[in-house]
Amino acid sequence: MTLLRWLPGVDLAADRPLPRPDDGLEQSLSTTPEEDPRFVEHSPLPAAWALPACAATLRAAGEELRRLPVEARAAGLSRVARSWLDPDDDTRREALLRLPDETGLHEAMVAWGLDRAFEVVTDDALLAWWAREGAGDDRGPRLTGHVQAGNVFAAGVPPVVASVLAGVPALVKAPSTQPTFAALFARSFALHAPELGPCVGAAAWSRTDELATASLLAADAVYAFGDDATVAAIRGAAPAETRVHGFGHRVSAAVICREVLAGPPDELDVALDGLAADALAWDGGGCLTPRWTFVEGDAGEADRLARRLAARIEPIVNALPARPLLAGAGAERATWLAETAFVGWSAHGPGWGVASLPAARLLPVPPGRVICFLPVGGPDDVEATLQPLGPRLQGLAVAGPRSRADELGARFARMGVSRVCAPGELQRPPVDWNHDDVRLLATLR
Amino acid sequence: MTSFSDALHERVQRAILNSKPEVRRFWEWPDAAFERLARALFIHQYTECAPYRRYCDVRGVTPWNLPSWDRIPAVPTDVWATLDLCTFPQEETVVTFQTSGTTRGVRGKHHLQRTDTYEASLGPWLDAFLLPDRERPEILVLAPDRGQAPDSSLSWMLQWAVDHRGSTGSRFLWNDDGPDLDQAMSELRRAVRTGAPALLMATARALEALYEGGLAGQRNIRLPAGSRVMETGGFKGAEQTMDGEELRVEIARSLGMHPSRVVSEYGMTELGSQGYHPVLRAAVDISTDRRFGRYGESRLFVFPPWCRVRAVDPDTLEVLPLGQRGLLCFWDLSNVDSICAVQTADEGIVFREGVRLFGRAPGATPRGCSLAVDEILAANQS
Repeated sequence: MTLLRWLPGVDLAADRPLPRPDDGLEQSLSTTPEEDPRFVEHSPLPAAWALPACAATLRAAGEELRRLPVEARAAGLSRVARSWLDPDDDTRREALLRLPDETGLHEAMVAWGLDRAFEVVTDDALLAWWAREGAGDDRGPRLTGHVQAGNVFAAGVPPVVASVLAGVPALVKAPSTQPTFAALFARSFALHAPELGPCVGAAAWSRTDELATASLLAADAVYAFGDDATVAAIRGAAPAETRVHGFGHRVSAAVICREVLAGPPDELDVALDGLAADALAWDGGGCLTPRWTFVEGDAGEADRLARRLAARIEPIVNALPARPLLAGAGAERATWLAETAFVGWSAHGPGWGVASLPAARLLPVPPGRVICFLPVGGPDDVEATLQPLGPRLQGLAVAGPRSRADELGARFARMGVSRVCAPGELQRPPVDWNHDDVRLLATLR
Repeated sequence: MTSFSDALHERVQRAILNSKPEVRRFWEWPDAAFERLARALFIHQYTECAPYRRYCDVRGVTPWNLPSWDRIPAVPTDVWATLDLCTFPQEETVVTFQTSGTTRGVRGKHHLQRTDTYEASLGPWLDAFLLPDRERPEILVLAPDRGQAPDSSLSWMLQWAVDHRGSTGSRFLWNDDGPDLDQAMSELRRAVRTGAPALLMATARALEALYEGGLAGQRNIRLPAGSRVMETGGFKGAEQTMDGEELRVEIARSLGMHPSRVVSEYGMTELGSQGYHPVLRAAVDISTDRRFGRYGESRLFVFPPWCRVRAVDPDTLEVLPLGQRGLLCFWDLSNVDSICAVQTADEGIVFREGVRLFGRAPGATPRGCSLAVDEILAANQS
C-alpha cells in the first residue's frame, strides 16, 4: 500500500524534518515516481519521526491563521468544500479513484458521502455557527489532534472544519488502512485556500504505533472517533493537559408513528424511502445508520411495511449502490435473513435486505444494508427494547408529526440521542450538529 | 404401518447401496434420480417440520412450485443452533449431534430419529477414500470415543470406524485432558514393532499436538506399509502454528509414509455425509487418479453422489455456475428427518468432480464508531 500523507513542515523526500518549521509545505501525495520525483520509494519516514516537525509547523502557522478575520477563514473553508463538490476537481477525482478500494464502498457511495460531507460547509452555515458558538474570548487550544475512524471516512470532517474556523490548525490521524481521504483533505486546503497557510496535516499510522500517537496527543485538544476501546485507549494515553473529546460506539434507530400509518399512503412511502436511504448510506456501517425501525402497530403492520419497502427499494439501492458482498459478510447476512424468516419475514436482493420480526427484540443483530421492522405498542416499548444498549443511541429518525418527533427526542435524549429528524435526513447531519452533545466550536474557544 | 419417513430412509439406503465403486453411479447419480429423491425429502421436511415450512413459505418455495433440487431452501448452519430442525417429535430423538460452538458461542444441534441411514451414508465413502485397498488396519483415534462425547458426530463416526472397520487392538487415545500423546507415541511404536498397518484418525489440532509433542524430531517411527492417516476438523479458530498442507506433509514425513497416505476429511454436524481428499484412492486406483489428477488430489474434497454441493453468490444467494467461488451449500439426502439443504459459511469452488475448499469466510467485522451491537449486548448482559 502506498503511504499517503500531507505533513506541512516535513521534507519526506529528504527523509528528515525541515530545518525551519515555517519553511512551507512538502507534499508526498503522488503515487509513482513518474508523477512526482519526490516520491519516496524506500521506506518512508516513520510517522513518529515526522509528526513533531509537522505539529511545530502547524502551531507556528496558527498565529497567522488566527489573525485572519473569521469571515476569511469561513470563505477559505467553503472554497475547500466547493472543490470537493466539483466533479472536475482533481482531488475529488483522486478520492473517487482510491477510496472505493480502501473503504470497500462503491464509487457512487463514496461520491454520495463526499457530497453529504461538504455540501453543508457553506459560508452562511459556518458564520451562523460561529455566531452561535464561536464568539467570546480566545483561550482555546492552539493545535488540535484528530483520530478518524474507518467506517465512515468523512465523519471526522466537522471537527477539522470547526478547528480551522476557530483559527486552530489540525493534525489528523487516519486509519492505517485508509490513508487517502485525510491526506487529500489536508492537501485541498493548500490547493484551494492557500491564504489560510499550513493549517491541516494528515498521516496514517497504526494505533499500535505509540510514539506516533504520542505526538498527536501532544495537541491541546483531541477529537477521537472510533470504537469504545480506541477512544478509551486515547483518553488513557493522553497527557493530563490534553482535552480529549471521544466519539465512541453509537447506534441509531427509527420510529414510524401510528399517525403516519393511518395517513395517506404517499406519506408512508416517503418515510419508507427515506428510511431505506438512511439504512443503505455508508453501507449501513455508520453510527447514524438506523439498525431497527420500530412500528407503532402490531406484527401484521410491521410485516406489511417490510413487504411494502421491499417492493419499492430497488431505485434507492441503485442510487446508493454497494460493492458485491464478500463471502464473510454474505454468510452473516444469509444467517440473519434466515433467522428472521423463520420467525417473521425477510426478503433480499443484491446489496439490500428487509425483514420484520413478530415482536420487538434486538437479536438477531441486523448486518449492514438491511432494514428491520419491529412492532411496538408505543415509546415505552421502544425504550424497553433499546435499554440493553445503555446510553448509546445516536440518532432517531421519526416518521410522524413534529410533536411526536419532539416528544421522542426529549424522551430518548437520556439514552444519548443527539439527532432527531425525519427519515431520509438521518445521514445528512449539518456541519454544526452537536455530535454526542459536544459543541465543537465552543470546545475551541 | 411404514411411515413416509421410514419409506424415505429405505429409499435413500437402497440408493446408497446401489452406488458401489464398480458402477457408474458411484461418482454421480443421474440428475433425475437425485431430483426424485430430493423432492421426496423436501415434501417430507416441508410437511413435518413446521419452522422449516414457514421459512420455505417466506422464501416462496413449496413442494408444488419447486423448480429443481438446488432451489430447495437451504438453512444456514448458524441457524441450526437456534432452532430444532427435525420432522419428528422431540421425544423420539435417539441422538442429538451438537457442534462445538466455536464460531458463535452457541452449539448447533442436529437431531436424529434413527442412525442407520447416517451410518449407511458414512460407511461406503469412508471405505472408498480411506480403505480403497480393502485393508483392515488397526485404528488409533486421537479423539474422544462415543461414550466420552456422545453428542459429537465426529466421535460417532470414528466409533463406527473402530467398531466396523478396525482390526483387534483399535482404540481411542483420549483422556480427560485431551489427546493422550504418550499413549499415542507408545501405540505408534508398537505398530512399528508388530508390522501391522495402522490408521491414525485425528482432528487437525490433535495431530498438530502429536507432532509438536512427540513426532517432531523422531527418526525411528516408520509406520508399516499400508498405514495411513485421516485428518479432520480444521482448526476451528484455534491458535495454530502450521497450515493444513504443512501439517499433512510433516505428519507423513514423521511417520515415514508418502503424503498421499494422509487423507483429509470434511464433515460437519449438520451433514450426514462427508467428503474426502481422493489422494489415497488415486494412489491405488488409476481411474480415480485420472478423474481427479488435473485438480491435484490433495486440493479437492469429493462428496458422495447423494450429497450434492454448489457454491452460491454471497450477495444474491443464487447458485453459481460450476467453477465459480462462493459460499458452499449442500443438499445431503442422508439428512432424511432434518433438513437436507444446508448453507455453510465456508468458501469454496465447486467442480463437477469435487470441491476446492478455502475455509470459513472471515466475518464482516464492524469498524469504527458504528456499534458492534452484539458485543455491547453481550457486555451489558454479563
